[in-house]
Amino acid sequence: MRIAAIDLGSNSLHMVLADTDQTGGFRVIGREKEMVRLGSRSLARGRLSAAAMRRAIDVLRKYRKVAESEGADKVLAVATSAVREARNGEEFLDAIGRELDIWPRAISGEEEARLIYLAALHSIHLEGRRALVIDIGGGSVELALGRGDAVEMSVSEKIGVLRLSEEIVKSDPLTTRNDTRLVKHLDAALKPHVERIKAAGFDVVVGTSGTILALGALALERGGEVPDTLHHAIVPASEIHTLRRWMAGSDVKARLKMNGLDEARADIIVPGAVLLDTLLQRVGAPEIVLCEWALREGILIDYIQRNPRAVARAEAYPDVRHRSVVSLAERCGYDEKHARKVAQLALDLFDATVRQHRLGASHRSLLEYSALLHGIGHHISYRGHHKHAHYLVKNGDLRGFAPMEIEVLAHVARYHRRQPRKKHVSFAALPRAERRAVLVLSAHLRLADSLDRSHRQVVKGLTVKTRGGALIVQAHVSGDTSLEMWGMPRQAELLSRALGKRVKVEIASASAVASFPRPSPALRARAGK
Amino acid sequence: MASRKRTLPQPAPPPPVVPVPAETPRPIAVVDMGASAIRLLVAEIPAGQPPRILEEVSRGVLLGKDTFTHGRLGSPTIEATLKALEGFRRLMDTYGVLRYRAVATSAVREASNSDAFLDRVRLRTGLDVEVIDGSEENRLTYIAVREELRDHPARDLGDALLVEVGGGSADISFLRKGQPIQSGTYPLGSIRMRQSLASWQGSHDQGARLLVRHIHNVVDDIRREMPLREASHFIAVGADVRFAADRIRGDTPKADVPVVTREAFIAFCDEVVAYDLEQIVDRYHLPQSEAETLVPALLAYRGLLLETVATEVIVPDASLRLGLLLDLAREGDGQGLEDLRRQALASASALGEKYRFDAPHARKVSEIAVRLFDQLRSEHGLSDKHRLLLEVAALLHDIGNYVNMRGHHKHTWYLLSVSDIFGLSQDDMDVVANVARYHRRACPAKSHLPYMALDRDARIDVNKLSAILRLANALDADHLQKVKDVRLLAEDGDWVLEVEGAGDLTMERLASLARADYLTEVFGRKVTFRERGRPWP
Repeated sequence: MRIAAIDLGSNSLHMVLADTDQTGGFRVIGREKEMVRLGSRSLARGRLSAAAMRRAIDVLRKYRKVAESEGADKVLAVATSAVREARNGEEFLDAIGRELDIWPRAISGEEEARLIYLAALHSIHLEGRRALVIDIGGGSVELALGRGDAVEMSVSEKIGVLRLSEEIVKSDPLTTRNDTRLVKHLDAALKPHVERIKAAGFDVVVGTSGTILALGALALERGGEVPDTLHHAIVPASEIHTLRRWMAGSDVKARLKMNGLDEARADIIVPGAVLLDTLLQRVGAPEIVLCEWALREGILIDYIQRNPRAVARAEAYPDVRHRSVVSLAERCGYDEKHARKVAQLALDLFDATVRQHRLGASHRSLLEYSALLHGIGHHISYRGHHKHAHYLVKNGDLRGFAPMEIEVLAHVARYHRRQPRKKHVSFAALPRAERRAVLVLSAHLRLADSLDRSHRQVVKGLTVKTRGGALIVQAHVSGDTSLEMWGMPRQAELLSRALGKRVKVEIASASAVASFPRPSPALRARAGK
Repeated sequence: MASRKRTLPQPAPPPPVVPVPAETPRPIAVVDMGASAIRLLVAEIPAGQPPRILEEVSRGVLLGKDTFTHGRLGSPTIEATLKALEGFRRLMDTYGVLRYRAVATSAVREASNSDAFLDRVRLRTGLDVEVIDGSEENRLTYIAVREELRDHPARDLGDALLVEVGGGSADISFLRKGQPIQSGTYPLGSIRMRQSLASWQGSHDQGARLLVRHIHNVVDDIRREMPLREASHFIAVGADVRFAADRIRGDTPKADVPVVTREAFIAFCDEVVAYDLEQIVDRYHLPQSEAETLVPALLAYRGLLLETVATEVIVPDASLRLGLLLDLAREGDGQGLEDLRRQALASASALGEKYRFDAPHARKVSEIAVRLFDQLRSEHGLSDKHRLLLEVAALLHDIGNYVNMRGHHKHTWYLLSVSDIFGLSQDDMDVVANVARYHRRACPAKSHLPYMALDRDARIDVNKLSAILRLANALDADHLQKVKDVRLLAEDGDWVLEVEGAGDLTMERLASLARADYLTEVFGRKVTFRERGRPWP
């Protein structure tokens, strides 16, 4: 299954594209990142600016195109502090939904911390050690503490670098006064957490997020070490401290000259350095392990953990349409044996009558899917179950179908019981070609369904011959077919009408062809109502 | 929620034939129009005691045969019914009855000329007959069964299946520890099944086999909705099964509640099924109409019994009219509503589980919603029944997520509009479905068809209840149940909601500020919020 996970952070928008595998893990196949500064000024004002929202939507539109062209089955998205603290946050998320059909969830700081911890847990060799995970974002800082799957602490503080740089660090270079103010502000926010962390203890500190990775890279470079990859690189706290002291005295020009510093980060890196250094000192950490995975990977892991069956199904059914259909059917507890038998019989009938109906392969697959789905309405209730099937097919999030295909599917599933009638508003509203398709396909489905009325799959297969201008369908059966025989002649009659050619169904067993008692004319007349 | 007129129109107070002493309340009466008979019960309810039956009359009128064959009530049947009802009215007047309830079930409900028929009844007899749906029938039968089984172990221990096979359909309820958590109406009506075989030209045996197959199919579907296998008690109600129980028990001394063993019941069914109509009339001395329904009904009970693990069939003499009587007698009694509330909530929880709802969130929203409802009593003027509807709507507001997260509020509406919750009528469910739909996004609007399909009173109820639900839902926006309590205070003509919670309430604050506007629109007061003495910006 291919999943795209998007993180709408206060500083940057990230997307990761990954393929899940059978072991419950995944393989990253692509990444995107753009610094949109959603939280710029909004964190102080309490509203997202129109310009920032526009920027974000443009970037998301691009991400969506990438996800689509890469065939992503699912797009997950979360929004963090900038959105959750803005009065117009919900409006913004709604607008994204309406414009792009992406529906980000605004998550709380605690949830954010938990997901970041998940990312670290699954990417760093912790081997059962107690880990303190730190993420320094634009709006907020997340701290999580745990061992293995047990998360003991997950907190969020509103001291992200964008916020600090806009509200506190107003000078460049950082004056001593501002430095002191900054540290005081940070201490006040971090004190309760630091105490808790020191009391609980930890074995390793892991740092995620662009700011920490940037600081780590810079520190290592200044220390003369340039690792091939930042992931898993260990940075001594002393080197962070040295870096911080240099940064505090630097101005933006000097920083821009630094190798490896993204110029978009040149301003916010200073409070970032102060923050990281202060925190490491306060908790008494000797070093920090860099981690390239962050919230977006955490989202993926969380999704996979919560939806093992969906992921497994993706492996079993690579075709997204088929998978989606089976997923909906399973969700509704369908009678799998019956549904598959009806699908098989319906397709046999369809194939035998091609010269009469002249429908093609795409309609054939719609017939198969509607056969698999025809019984799902029972999950809601017995009464009106055919209408429930229609509703579920229409609204149950089937993937990979064009809207008109969904309409046909929904109607064929509904008409597995009773015929389409012009007075049914929804049916009458379909375009002519689709109405015809529904009439023909549902007639096949009803006959196939009647051939397994007992739900015991007594009809093993069908063979079709022509005899005297009529199509003779021989049903090869094993077992009692009284219930099947009861409704079937009528459905055969309806199919005949739909095809313009007589269709007769006979029971075949061994060599003899047996006939069945026909209901009285009176009954047939009444049933024709 | 207009209540049905229940007092008889009296042009002038008639002289009571039976002098009624001032202390004893007047007798009450119930009329039940079923598929094969109409029945009257007159009873008096001495204070603090169970009702004492004064008169019980039954008149055979084959309403079901007309409706299930032709889709309408024929003139001879209507005339016969009117005559019988006139007789009932006279009897009720003789006893000085003022309070009554008359109901009609599927045989009238499904007749195309039911409106005209009921109008004629009203004009001829002055009786106002109410057409009730399957869920109301279930509720009333349950009341009767509970009364009859008051001292029986089945009442409280284990799980039970309660089955009533009527003429048009079968009403089935699943009881968990004696409380109904699921109920429904299914196409296993004896007259209806009989009619579908009416022109069957095969042998009696083949016909019986077809019936068994049909019943088996329906039972398969029921099994998907109800955990039949978990029923350790089987409670069967209805004339056909009572007949069977009497025949099986024969001359043995009558205990309080008739009980027969599973084996004996199945054996009796097998015996009866082998006979054709004439033989049944001969052997058991039954009138034709009763003989016709015996086989289909018994096969239905048998089909369901086989699904359970019950070792006995309990056959209480609990009829719809007994339930009607008890319900009418207890009107205005708080205990009745409390029972109803417990049953409805149990049923609603079961429905929520079926659609895998986020139970802690649902319960928290429900808790906050009724808290707000209670504190706003003087403003909204709604009843305790409304409180229950709000509670149920709040519990189930998110079940639409089962269909699709997108537009889930509309899917919630759909699911609730087609689901049964024990104790709530279709009208009740229409209100619940609408209230739940409006828990987010758009507020009720004239362009919304399901909303406009409600009558004006119901629409106003929906406005008030959904305004409360929207706010209650916002107060658990994070789905983490951080809000512990809310207190509504009136200050300077407006409201201040004091929120007591644990942890970061940012999400709740944002959502509440956004959702409070509908509350203001409906109740005309501005709402501001405070947490720990500090106002929410």
